[in-house]
Amino acid sequence: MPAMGYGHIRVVAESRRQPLVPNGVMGMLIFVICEVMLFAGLISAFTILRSSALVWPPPGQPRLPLASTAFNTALLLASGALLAAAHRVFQRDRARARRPLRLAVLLGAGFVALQGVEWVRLIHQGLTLTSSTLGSFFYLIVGMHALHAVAALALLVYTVVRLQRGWLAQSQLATAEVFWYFVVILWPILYGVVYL
Amino acid sequence: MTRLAGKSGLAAVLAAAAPRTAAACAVCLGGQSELARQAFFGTTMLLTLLPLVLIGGLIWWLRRRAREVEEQARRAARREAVPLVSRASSSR
Repeated sequence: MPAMGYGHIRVVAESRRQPLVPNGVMGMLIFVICEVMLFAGLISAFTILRSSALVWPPPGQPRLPLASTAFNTALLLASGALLAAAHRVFQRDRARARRPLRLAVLLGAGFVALQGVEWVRLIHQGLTLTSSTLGSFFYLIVGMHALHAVAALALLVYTVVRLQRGWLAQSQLATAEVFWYFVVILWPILYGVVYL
Repeated sequence: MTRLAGKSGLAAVLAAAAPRTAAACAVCLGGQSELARQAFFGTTMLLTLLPLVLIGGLIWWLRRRAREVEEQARRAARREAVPLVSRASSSR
């Protein structure tokens, strides 16, 4: 005779509470939200200045390079797509994620380098921080984005190094991804607002 | 004294109603054109709503994630549940 009636015993191991989102990802998300507000403020100031100006762009100032920056935008978007591909590959086979991750870093570095070349050209043409309100805002907004791009790129390089040494955790990759996607998604908006 | 204060107050209210238009900000040149007015309105809306959308979006995503984790734990617990009858019969 069974000692107890029909039923089920739940064999549940004492489980440790896991965070919903890895701490690194959560921290990065909060940081990105703050940075979105920073760029929203800059974009707002630029939009008001531009709409209040009688003539835009200010006379005597060079035109911003639309075509080469569009190419640069494509580079950055491709870098973001490669990082997303690296994420998918990493879940199945960590070693195979190296290639798309390295390519993403390479394209990101290409974007930053080409932006630098454009800046040098614009400075030679007379667009400086003090030459006009366009110059001030251009270098402030695009410079802030470049600063974020360099920081995110450094984080991606660190991620690649960790992956090569076999120390990379999924959460670390996700943290770097959040930062890079922010840089990638923000750029077409800035391109539309500042360049077009 | 109170009558004087009352008259002064009334005069101040009437003086405030005198100008046809009032510039909200003495130093900005906005509001002169329709385009500038639209820009002010649009950017005010952007800066007001964006933090709400961002924080709201984060909370919504975290709640969805919490539900997913809860559901996974429930499924795992159901899989690990051992029938008592089969245990009792096997021990005999």
